[in-house]
Amino acid sequence: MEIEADYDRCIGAGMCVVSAPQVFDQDEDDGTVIVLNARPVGEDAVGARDAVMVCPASALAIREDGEP
Amino acid sequence: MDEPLTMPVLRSPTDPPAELREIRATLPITPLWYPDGHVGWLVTSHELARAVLGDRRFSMQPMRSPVGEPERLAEVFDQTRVELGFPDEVHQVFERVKAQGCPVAHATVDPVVVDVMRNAPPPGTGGLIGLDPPHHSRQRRALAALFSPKRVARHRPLVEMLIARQLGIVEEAGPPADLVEAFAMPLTMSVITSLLGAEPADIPSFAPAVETRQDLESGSDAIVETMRAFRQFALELVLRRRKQPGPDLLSDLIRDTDLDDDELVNVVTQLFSAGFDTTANMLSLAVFTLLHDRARWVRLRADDSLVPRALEEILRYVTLIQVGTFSRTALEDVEIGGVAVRAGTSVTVSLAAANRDPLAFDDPETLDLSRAATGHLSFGYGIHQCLGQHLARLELTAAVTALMRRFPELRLAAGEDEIRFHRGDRQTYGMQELPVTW
Repeated sequence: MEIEADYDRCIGAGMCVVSAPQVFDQDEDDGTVIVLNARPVGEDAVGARDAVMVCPASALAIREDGEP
Repeated sequence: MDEPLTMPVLRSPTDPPAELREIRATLPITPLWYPDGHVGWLVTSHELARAVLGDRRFSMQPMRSPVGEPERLAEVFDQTRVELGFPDEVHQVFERVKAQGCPVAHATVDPVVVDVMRNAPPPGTGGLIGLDPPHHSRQRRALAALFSPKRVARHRPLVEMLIARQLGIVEEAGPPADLVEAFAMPLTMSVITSLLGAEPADIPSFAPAVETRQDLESGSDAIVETMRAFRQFALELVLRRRKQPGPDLLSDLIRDTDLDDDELVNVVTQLFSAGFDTTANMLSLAVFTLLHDRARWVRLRADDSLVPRALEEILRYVTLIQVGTFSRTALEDVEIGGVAVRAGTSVTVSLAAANRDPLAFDDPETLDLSRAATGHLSFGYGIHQCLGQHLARLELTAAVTALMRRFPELRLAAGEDEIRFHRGDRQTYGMQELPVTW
């Protein structure tokens, strides 16, 4: 899997950081998402899927391996 | 088409109105009658709630409330529009509506006024919650970093100190106690005043405005009067911190962003408004929920690492923001759940109903403190999701944990039927009192 972030849609709600702190961080100035690890595995991958689901701005997506 | 519903508001202390269950099961989007005569929609399923709240084809304006008297808030608008500097076209709409002898509420839903409110509100009017992109995006970004989980965590020592101080006062006074008046309210007020660089002596400058606006019986004169004092206080606070920065969030905001004084006044009033009544009521309800079935209290007390997860579930189960006051209005025709929502039509989302949707949560009517309530909508969803949610979580977790440690024998001092809760049509649910003893 690979995480894709839409930085324009992001509102800096920080839900991704709560869901998967090893995968996401936020910009110190405007709170925008920073993807620390675009290809998480194991527990981090589970957290990343939660993050995609709870992101209030629908700014995150997951591209599964093999998907264009 | 069936007769439009009126917004169900009769609830029990921890359960939303029972009718919502059947409405969600049969018609998760259904016609809803608004007090201004408008017929819009009520959304009750989790899936459609997310669809509406996450869809940028919906505007925050004109924010028709499904409960209450629209005329009251319209009168507030009418009485303040000159001093707030609205453009001429807004005044013309109000004058025309009044000359026609129509209720002044008609002016607030006039397309000209709606357009000004969402696209070019004069500096110093409306909070973040009433704005659409791109105005919303700019202000939200300016604030987002200050309310990130990491930045909020830095305030933990301050919050814990304020909790310890307040609990010390409660302990000294001895049992019994009303935890709303003696703990929840003073605590959340002191947290927000400390964070914004204000003083305890400033509380009377903002608290009445927030309470007056929430009180469905308040007249427009009282609202206008308390709002004026509140804005004046907010402006003085901004000027104070501009001149003399401190270690507070408002000083950070002044230093780190390009918001002007009018925008800062908006932000300050909004942070005070959203910052204590909600958290105090949620804290009271959480403590009530734990003590009402005291096995819950005992279980969490034995292992307070369970508190954060338990609180997420209580947030879901109780759903504080109950009547969907922040309605959305379609900017264009939008299809939601197979229904055509026409441009200009308002949609109210029942967060409480969505949070009890069996398609989103297993056995949703059961309070299960060990479940992962991930995905609940108690802080809303979409670009207007609660800015202060991580601060609220920090306050709730720290307060419940400290309460359990200091008063392990805490119990309710009155039966559920004797305790006064807020009304079911108040924007924020909660408790007027929480009598306890130990």
